[in-house]
Amino acid sequence: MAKGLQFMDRFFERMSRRTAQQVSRRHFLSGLGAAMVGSTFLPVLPVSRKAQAAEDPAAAWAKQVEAQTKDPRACNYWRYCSSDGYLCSCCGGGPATCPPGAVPSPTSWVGSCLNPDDGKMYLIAYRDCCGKDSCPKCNCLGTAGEKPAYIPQLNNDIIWCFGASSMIYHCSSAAIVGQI
Amino acid sequence: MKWRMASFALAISFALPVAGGETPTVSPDSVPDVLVREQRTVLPKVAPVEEDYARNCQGCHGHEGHSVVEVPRLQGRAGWFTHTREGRAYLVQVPNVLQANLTDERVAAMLNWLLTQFSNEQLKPGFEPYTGAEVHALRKQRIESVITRRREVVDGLVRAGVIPDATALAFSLEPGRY
Repeated sequence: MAKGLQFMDRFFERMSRRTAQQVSRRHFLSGLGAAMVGSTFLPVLPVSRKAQAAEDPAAAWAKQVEAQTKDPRACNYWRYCSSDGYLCSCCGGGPATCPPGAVPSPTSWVGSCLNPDDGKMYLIAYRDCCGKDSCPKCNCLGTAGEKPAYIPQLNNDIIWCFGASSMIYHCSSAAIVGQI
Repeated sequence: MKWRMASFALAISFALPVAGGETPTVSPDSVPDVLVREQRTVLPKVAPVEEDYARNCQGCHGHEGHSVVEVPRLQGRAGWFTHTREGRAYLVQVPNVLQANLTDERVAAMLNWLLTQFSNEQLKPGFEPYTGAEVHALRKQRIESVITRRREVVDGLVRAGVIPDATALAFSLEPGRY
């Protein structure tokens, strides 16, 4: 026990003496200073901010698919970040209108997407068009902000024709509710 | 000096929220979207409390507090619940408020907003807004069956003379359901 302690004592003494002989005090202080300043600046490096930005699923989707604001018939149109199904824009309707013969469901689920051109978030109402056989065109799957099926009010695998006169799903629309 | 006062007043008038309950809007030209610009759609600027309602409630309850017969109507009747202690608690304990992914403070703010927005006339005179602490305490008590509990609460409101009969607060607007 005592021997072990003596060994440790001698070891650290030798270490610190060697450091004192070989390293100049100014060199040590400048090194310490650099380390302290460096550590305070570390959190503002772009790496850290990038990691935080990626936390938002809508922003991550927009980046991943290179979201655009010009063509509502493409899966990467910015409003479709949480749309799951056939695009009404490809079925004779628009991103906010049902094709002829299909009726908009009175219920919807509301999510948000990032507009890639102004960098702002907008609330989007995902509303299914119902009452007509499914339109098998432009099948797109966005899952930003979606929750598992056991939280049905925020899940988009479910057919949202709830409350409509018919539960037959035709296509999915995505209307802008407002700017956040 | 005069112009300085004038510019100060101008700055203040811009800083003030829009009076008279009008929602601030966003010009179509400032929204980079092909259809918003083509159709000249004027979008509302959504306040945080409205966003919480929109994300968690609006899909089924509608943006004005009413939608289909299957979904309980908030507009013109939710305020009645604030007349009794049990009713006030019930509004926090309905499953989708109790389990909403919102802090107690945000649930309190959202309830206060929707009650004054959709059912101001039915509120108990001198209605005291919900607080985060109150919501916190109420959220700890789960109700067994929302249908049974609602019936008890509504019967209590009838006995207290707040509403003439139970149909005024029927769960569904369609007769014969629930």
